[in-house]
Amino acid sequence: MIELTVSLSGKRIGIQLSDGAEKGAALCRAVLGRFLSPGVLPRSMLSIRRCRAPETAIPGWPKSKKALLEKRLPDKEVLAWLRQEDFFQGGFPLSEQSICSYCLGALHVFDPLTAAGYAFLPGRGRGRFSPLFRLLWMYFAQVLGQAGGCFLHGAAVGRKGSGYLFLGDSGAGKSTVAGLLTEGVILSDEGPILRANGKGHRLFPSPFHQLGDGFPLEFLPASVPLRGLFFLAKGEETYVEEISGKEAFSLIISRHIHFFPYLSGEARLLLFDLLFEITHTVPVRYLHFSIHGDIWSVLKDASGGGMK
Amino acid sequence: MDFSLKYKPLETIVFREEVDGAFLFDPESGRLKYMNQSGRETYLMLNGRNDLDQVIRNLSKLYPEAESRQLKQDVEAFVLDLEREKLIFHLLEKGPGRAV
Repeated sequence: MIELTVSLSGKRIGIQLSDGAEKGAALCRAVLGRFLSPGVLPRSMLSIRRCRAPETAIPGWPKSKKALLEKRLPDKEVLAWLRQEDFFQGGFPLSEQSICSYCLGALHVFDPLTAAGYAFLPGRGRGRFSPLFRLLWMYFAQVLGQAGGCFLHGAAVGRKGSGYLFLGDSGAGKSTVAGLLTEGVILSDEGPILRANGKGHRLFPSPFHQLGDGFPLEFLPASVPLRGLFFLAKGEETYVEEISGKEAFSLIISRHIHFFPYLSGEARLLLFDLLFEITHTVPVRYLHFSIHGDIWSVLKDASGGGMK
Repeated sequence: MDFSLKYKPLETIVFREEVDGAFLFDPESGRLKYMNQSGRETYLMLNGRNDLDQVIRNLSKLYPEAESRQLKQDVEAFVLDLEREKLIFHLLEKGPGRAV
């Protein structure tokens, strides 16, 4: 058995690999890198093991997995099946509120009451560890959700003690904008963490990014206060444009929270409150940008500079 | 539609006012719905005490310029939409009903 602890936005989350899943530890270490905290006791744990039952027996299992990343499964039926198959060998650590999901061929169960997770990897094959990256991300999202935090589908950059969040669908230019803001530090260009703590609304770095080995972890702040939120739009000029808090809120809730359908009702409610407050108190704008434009000067005074 | 029915929101539904409307949010399903100003006013009248006829009377006072038949159609469509989305339920005559 191998155990790892990762620290994300101040939360200590454990990963336990056993029962044939130990070889996945190398991948976990590669993904989580310097977010690992050796010797630190976690407050919640994801237990990863090999699935010893044929996947076709799992209730709700997708018949066609082509291009399917993840899918909610019928919770009650899967829990009953796990109990019947004696997956936990005598005990049953899950509550009836548990959330069951398919994730790239793995079965994942999250119990919001304890923040414990159980992942069962495909039994055999060279690709049996391929779900790990996404499984870890889903579990972390669920744990953070219980604490009122989330991974956003966006890029976050810190500069001079302020954090700026850029939201957009795939291809909107998140990584491009993050790369253009050379005077800042990129917290993530794919899944930064947003959470409120005693210091207000904060952006935290995340191991989920597209920067590869260029991720400047050694320069990362622990967190930065959120000072501006921007929805990206590529264009020929660089300027900001008004967007109402109402529209911004709708967009974020419906499109920009990673793994939102896999969170508990309690977590969704916490995020509803968090994002409603943020979109009605933090400056929110559309950012139209050109790769030749001076984005920082436009961001500097989003309420007045460069607006159309 | 039976306009003598009284409706009220499910207890789990979250209501949040905006300047010119309001959001409804169901944490269990993750569904988010936005209502404009008149929708908000109508929704706030669905408190389990007003039947739909009373709601229509109240709205015609707020919107005296609105044609009564159109108002009735709008209320019907609005209520059915909320009921279909499991955001409200109607009370039975002899006591609280169950959610639809």
